[in-house]
Formats: sequence, C-alpha cells, structure tokens
Amino acid sequence: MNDDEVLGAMKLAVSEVRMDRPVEDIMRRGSARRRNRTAFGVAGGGLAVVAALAIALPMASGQQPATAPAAGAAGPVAMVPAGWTLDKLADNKVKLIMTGEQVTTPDVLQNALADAGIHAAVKVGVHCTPKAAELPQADKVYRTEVLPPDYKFTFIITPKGMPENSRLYFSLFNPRGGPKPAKFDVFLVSNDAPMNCVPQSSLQK
Amino acid sequence: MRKGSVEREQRDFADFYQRCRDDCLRAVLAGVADRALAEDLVAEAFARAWASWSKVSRHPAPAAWVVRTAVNTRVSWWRRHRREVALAGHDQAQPAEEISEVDATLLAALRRLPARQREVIVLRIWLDLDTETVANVLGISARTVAVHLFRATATLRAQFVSVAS
Repeated sequence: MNDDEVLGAMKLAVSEVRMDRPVEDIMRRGSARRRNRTAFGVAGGGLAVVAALAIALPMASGQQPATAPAAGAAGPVAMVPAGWTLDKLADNKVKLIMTGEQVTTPDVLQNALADAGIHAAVKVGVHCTPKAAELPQADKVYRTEVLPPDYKFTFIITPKGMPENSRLYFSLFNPRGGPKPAKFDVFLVSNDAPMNCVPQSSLQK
Repeated sequence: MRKGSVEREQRDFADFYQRCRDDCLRAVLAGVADRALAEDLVAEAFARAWASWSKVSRHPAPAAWVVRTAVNTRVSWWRRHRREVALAGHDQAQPAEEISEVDATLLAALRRLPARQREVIVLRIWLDLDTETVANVLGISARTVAVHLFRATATLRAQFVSVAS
C-alpha cells in the first residue's frame, strides 16, 4: 500500500461524518459572545481582540459601551494593545489576564473591573502596598496563576467575596524601568486604607 | 455597520459554515474520539469565528482557524448550556456511529501520532490545504510540513498494514 492509498483510506474513514447543527444556533451563540465581549471589554477566544477595539467598536445593539475612550469619540480612535483581557467565568468569577503589553489606560481597566462587579484601583509604574495589613478575606477574593503555555500573569477574582467598602488595589510595574509591566501585585484593602506607593524607578537595583 | 453590510457578512459566514462544517468536524475527530464532544467543540469554534468574523474571514485558512480553536477549547458552552458535565477522559466515550470498526482503528492510529504530525495530516489531507498554507497556519516551514507528513504517513502505513493482515 502506498502513501496516497494510506492517506486516502484515512480521509475515507470519516467521510460519512456530518455536522448537522443549524447555522442559526451557531450565529446566535457567536452574536452573544460578541455582545458580551463588547460589554465587558473582553479579548478572548482564538483571537486576541484588544479591549480598546471592543470599546471603540460601534455596537449593533445600540447600547452604550461600558467604558468610553477619553478622547477622539467623534473621530477615529487609535488602537493599541490593552495589556489585559477580562473574562467572566461560568461560576461568576472573573479572570483578569495581564498580557505583558504596556497598560496606557489604567482607568479603562478600572472601569471594566467595575462593570464586572469589582471595585478596584489600578496603578501603573508604582508598587503600592497597604500601610496596615491586607483584609483577611483576601484569600477568598482572589488568587493568582501563571500557567503554561504562555505563562501570563492571571488573577482569578470572586467579586461576591469582597467585603463592603473594600477594593482591590492593583500595581503594574517594572523594576527594570521599561514601559511594559513585568510585575503585578494586588491587595484587598478597605476603601480608605492608606497605601504606600513606591515609583518603579526607585525599585531599580 | 449598515444593514447591507451586516447581511453580506451573515451570508458569507453561512456559506463558509455550510462548506466547511463537515470537514472541520472530521478534522477535530482526529484528536477527540467523543463524537458529541467534537461537535460541541466545533460548534463553539464556529460561534467564536462568527463573533470575530471580520478578522477570521481574512485568515489565510479560516477552516484551519476553526479546527485549532475547537481543539484548544476546553470548556464547552454548549455542554454547560445543556446542563451536562464536561467530560474528563472523553477519549473513550461515545464513538461516532458513522465510523466503522476498521475506520475507528485507523482513527485511533492517527490519534497516536505526535500532535504536530497529526495536525499536518488534518490540515493537509482533510482540510485539503496546500503545504504553504499549512506551514503558515502552524508557523513552521514548508520543508518541516513535508517532513511531518512523510513521517506520519510512514507510521500510519506500517500500522495499517499490520491491521489489515
């Protein structure tokens, strides 16, 4: 048996298999994903859709975006990698992945987190730590993961676990001084908790 | 987006789906033995393709995009939506009824190939993509595609002969 016959037999082995799911179901599901992504500023799935694009896209539904770009609303909007993706999980947790790109608009991330039910502060270029201790519920509110294959820094957050008048305080910084954050830190603190913020330039050794 | 443009997008996607859905499902069955799970994964991948159609439609091989997305999708919305539990160890479950016992043996041999060789077979033979496009999709050289295809075919040929005898 030659190679062509082997490959022909392989192709023939599944020739009777048919996908019979209606295209309407597929498109309904895809449209829902599109709406969700726009609402949450999510970049997910097989393509890395930048959150800035999702926010800037005109929405077919006519809804207002969850967050608006600070400038250029009437004209073309410059698109840059958002530096993060945000996804709501089936169990109502929220997954925040830091892609490693520069985060130029921390307020957009902050607003997207708020839309997902997470009161947060996002600081770039500084490392902030609470002057007092972190709230004891922290372990139940967030955890971090760095997983293969791409080893991106990921926060899994449980918004319902956050006590009243609390917020997550994120720091995105690079001790070596580059524009792209290399380190990420987060603390669960009360809204009025004093923070000690050190500029990344002071962290260089 | 204007109405005419939306309708054209919908037509394009529906046409793509009708043309490629069977091939994509067959390709995913190369790695996922559970027929129902494979269909869920392909459906989810097509839904994602529609969600990002403006980009996927410009992909050099949209069907390959769907297959790779399906294979990389671990959580099936379709399954959750039907209140079913995602299968663990699904490789043993629910074989496709349309596939005969001999063909199932062939597929099992295909599934035992190294992942890259299996991907090349799927893209090159089942999705009928040319070598350059396969190389582009997988991010490897055309020469490497040819090597993977050669090795995969040699492995399968040996196993097929032993099965037939």
